[in-house]
Amino acid sequence: MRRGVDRREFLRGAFAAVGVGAAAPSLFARALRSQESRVATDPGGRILVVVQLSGGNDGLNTLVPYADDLYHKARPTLRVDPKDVLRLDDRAGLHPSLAPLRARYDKGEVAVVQGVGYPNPDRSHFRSMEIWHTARVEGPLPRAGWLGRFADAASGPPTLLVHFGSPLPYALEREAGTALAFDGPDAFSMAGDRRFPQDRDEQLAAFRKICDCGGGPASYAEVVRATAASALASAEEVKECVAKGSNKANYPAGQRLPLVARMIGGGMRTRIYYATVYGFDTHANQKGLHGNLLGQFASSVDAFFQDLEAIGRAKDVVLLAFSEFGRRVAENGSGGTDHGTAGPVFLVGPRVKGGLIGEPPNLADLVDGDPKFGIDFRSVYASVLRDGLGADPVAALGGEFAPVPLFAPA
Amino acid sequence: MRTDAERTIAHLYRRAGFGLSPAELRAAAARGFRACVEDLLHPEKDDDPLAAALERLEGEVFDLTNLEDAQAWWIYRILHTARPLEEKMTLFWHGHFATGAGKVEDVGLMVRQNELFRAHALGRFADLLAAVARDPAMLLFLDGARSTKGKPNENFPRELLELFTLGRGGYAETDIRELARLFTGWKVREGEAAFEPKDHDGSPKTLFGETRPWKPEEVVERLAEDPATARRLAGKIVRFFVADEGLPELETEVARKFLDADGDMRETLRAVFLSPHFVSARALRAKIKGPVEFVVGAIRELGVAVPVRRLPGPTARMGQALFNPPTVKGWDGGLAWVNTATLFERANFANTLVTYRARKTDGRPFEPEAWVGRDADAAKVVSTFLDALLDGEAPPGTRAALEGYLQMKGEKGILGPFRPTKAGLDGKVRGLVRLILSSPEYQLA
Repeated sequence: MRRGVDRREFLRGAFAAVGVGAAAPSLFARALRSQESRVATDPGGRILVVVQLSGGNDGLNTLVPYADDLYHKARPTLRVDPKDVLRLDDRAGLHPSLAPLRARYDKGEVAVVQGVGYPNPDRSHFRSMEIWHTARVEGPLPRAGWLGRFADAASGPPTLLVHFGSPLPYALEREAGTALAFDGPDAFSMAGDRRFPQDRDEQLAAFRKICDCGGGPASYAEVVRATAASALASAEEVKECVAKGSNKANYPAGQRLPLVARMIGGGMRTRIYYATVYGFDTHANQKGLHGNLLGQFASSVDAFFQDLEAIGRAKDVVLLAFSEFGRRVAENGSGGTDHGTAGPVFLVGPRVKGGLIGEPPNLADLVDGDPKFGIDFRSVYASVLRDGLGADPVAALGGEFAPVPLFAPA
Repeated sequence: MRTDAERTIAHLYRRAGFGLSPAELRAAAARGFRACVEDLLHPEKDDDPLAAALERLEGEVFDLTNLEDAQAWWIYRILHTARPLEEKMTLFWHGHFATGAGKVEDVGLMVRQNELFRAHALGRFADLLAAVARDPAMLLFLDGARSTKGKPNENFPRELLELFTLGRGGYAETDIRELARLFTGWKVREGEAAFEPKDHDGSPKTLFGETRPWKPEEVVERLAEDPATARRLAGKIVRFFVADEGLPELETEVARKFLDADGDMRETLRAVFLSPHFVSARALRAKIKGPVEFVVGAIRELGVAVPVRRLPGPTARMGQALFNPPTVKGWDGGLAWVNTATLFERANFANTLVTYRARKTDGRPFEPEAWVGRDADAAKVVSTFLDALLDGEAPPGTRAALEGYLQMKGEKGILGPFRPTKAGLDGKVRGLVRLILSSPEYQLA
């Protein structure tokens, strides 16, 4: 029996990752130096925003094959009525809750890539997410995720990669150093004793020394030390940028994208922002839940690009939205759907070549009740890396994957 | 200075419990390691005064239909328990059978599930698994309550195989579909699990290579005693109690003990704590404290009290919202606890803890003068707290930085030595303890 692969196992490489040992330079100094090296990354550079739709987004009710009888038969209660579908062509259209994206789609700024998946699909949330995060469909797991490897190749500071919330996704794990985890500006600094305000700086200085006195044998303490050093080194920049940026558009409550807009507007040199949206594991009562989730996604993405347009940065940004799998073609008895396979991926931004990409899933040719995939997700990544970020896709993906043409010629 | 015996006992109680105050440590060390292990493994030997106290608090102080109250209730319980291993295992089972209040939408059922984990904390795994399979919160969380004959739902059966028992690689997709048919017919009615025979698919299913009308309880028993389950649980137990990276030799021993003892967790855990591996260099400080361990440990080791309602928020922001694990896989633990946001959160909780000065009825706040003598100098003060919080073991650079921090500005702003004056105690010793609690070494269990 093959032993389950666990997130913990790739973390085992973490000791090596902070490069501790006799010859290792002081970690804090190193974190600071890599902080300085951010100058090397172009402040007006291209930015990728990833929105992870966690739980397995129902692709068939996102991009609806409304003209396909097999869809309607398989979904007696969950099907979207063809008259409500936002038709994109004579076969497929968007769920009505995605209406906020319709105008952008018509402007050619939204690409909907159909049937994205990988061979031998895995229906476990955790294994499938791991595949999407590492861009490895088999074999041993690397320590770094696909975006971590992008950052390693760009040898940038922690602020190169920003994730909202905890824990960090595998996609952002790096060979060396860390991505920045950030929940909001208020908590991202060392508070002090209110009764002795002048003492805060003395504590901070001592804490810097504590985080700088590493170099001991490889241990968890050294990993913590390096991470704390990164936190201290990034705190000022993050706070300043968030304060400088602003939002003009209206977002639904509880979204991360307004913060991303402020960070971009404030001049962060971050190249990758990563936000996770939970709730797509709709085994039951799917109809209302899924519509709400799609609606919040669409209106926050639209508001986000409005904000970027207002500051003249929209052209630098591409947004990628994906999920670990789609859901079973046939609905279950609980008003929901069970785990499936391939699904649609969204790319949004003025540089994107908009439209429907690839072929709709063939509902007459299912394997175990699920459609076969049409486009390998790594070909989508290759395009995002090469044309979206101007990076080398081979370094990040660990192999050659023919990029899907998803961007308008410059 | 702590003795080696005290350090070993402190290690035991950080892992099998939630840390000890200096006075508790001295008492435990006097009893010896083996006696302490047996104390931990036999919570039923003594009465549980906390249970009675909590019953009074329920309803009056804690509204257990409210999530934040339920979180505070459980943290209160962990803080004050005389049965630390029972609470530690309750936390382990919550992570193993991770159920989220967000979807269950009935906090009372989450609390009932928590009591189930506590009741089975050190019992037979098969009994717990059977109880979980018909636990109302679980039936709602993984949609078992909606799975009916002809319309089976795969959510619970998939996680039963992937996460609760065999683990990936130990089953096929067809097993999930067969099990989905088997686990049909359960409902939740007015907060109670109920079985509806007419919604149950009693037809033959092919499981374990055999086609017949299997009963759910037979299947649960078979899964619970499968060697793959034993390996998976042994791996999780070792990572939870011993070393985040795992310890393969110990995992093999523990899996064998689990199978020999018919899944009895008390016997299994005794094998963990009494193994030489448990106190080996590969185990000591080889774990990152989880948020609950960090928060409760700091409070217990300092022997202080803070309003318990202030604890769920920071604990959740450190990445561990009780009753709301991030996914059905629970918390990854280990280095996944550590990132730039959670470390600031820990350092800022430490600040809140040591600067809380109000004297309310629910406890004594941190009082520097109770720790620092009138003749103490910087080195002595630093040693006192490093002993209590880090078993006296800190890198020389940390010690030097802490002693440097204790220096006090005299007249004209010139730095001079630490003196245990009012300003020194209130303005410096609190900061010192905050720095130790925030240090990389303190994040390790």
